[in-house]
Amino acid sequence: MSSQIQEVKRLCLQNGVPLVGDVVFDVENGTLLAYVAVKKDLDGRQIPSNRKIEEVKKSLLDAGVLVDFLVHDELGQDIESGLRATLLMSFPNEVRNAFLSISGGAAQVWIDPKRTFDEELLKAVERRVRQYLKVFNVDLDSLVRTTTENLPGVTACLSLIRHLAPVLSSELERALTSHGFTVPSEDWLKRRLDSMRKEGRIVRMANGTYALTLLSLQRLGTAKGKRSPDVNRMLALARFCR
Amino acid sequence: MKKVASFLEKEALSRLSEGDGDAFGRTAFNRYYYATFLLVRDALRSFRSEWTETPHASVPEILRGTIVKELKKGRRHAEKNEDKPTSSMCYDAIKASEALADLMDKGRRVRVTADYNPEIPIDFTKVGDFKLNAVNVTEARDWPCKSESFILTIKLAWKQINV
Repeated sequence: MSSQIQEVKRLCLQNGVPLVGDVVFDVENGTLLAYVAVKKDLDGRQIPSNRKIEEVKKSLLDAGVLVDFLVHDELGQDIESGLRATLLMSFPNEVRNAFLSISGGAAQVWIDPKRTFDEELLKAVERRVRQYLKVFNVDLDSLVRTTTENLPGVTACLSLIRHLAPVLSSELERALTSHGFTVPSEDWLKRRLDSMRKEGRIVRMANGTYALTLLSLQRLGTAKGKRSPDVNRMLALARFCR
Repeated sequence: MKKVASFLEKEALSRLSEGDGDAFGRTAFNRYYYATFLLVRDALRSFRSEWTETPHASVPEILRGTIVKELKKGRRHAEKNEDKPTSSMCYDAIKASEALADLMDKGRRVRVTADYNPEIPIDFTKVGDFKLNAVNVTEARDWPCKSESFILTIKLAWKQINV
């Protein structure tokens, strides 16, 4: 095993792939595990590139050495700690925690909020994040607020309407809630349905029930297999007719 | 599990002079990893029943493979329906899934070092912190909270596209 570890170190050194920490053997998986220390160049590109790392991995595989390379971005960790400290200091009553991951030279930031963010607060937080990341020449790709509230999107509503049609808004509300969605009120849902109707996605029958338009049916499409919406629809109809 | 890890972390630092720091420190890393692994495994189980007994090494593969693939499919579907919010939720969830896979890779590597490589010692040179194989315990301490945020992001999108 030690000769294989030496081979990993030798080939990495030879190809300009710097390792950090010790190379260890993963007994459960039968592979070696090694950390590659990566940094960013002035254009925000990762050095060494993933392609370079893959080449070394392949060369090692050809030599009979199975190794998993993991990327270790020390600067990324420093940026994350700094960002967290900055946000907790700037928004002590609004932000509980913040995390960051960087891929392709851009950052994704996750915010764990203490309370609901309004548009103004969201913009202020985003501005602060951008200011902070600019120092490191990193762009903000996305800012995500983690929340347990999950309002049903248009696609989710349409999928359920297809399944249950013709359906009353009260029945749809029950179905959405049982699927784990947050429906703030029946009025909220009615307004959402009305807006979908105006967009030509659904039709409202005289008896107050809703069904999809042809346009929506075409856009939703179908799928083969046990998760096919058409099969689900047939099963729902069979239950209804019984 | 997180509380146990935190306790072990403090014990490792306080028992340094007695020579027990290394043993407690290794176990702290191990527990932080397990606290995270159990959260992720529970999430996977809620996504698909066949992922109930997912082995450690397969977790990052599932996160980068099937989950990202499904989320990309859901995103395309949402775009076709002109549903921007769901599309952007899927995008965030794809990033979260990839970041969670990286975190699990890193955690597994440290756990393997802690459990099977006693010859690699814990580095206690920094005051109030320690590291094992280039990973600081302060970073490991964040793994459970961090993974909870990632999981929540994935779950919200997963629900939207799996009605």
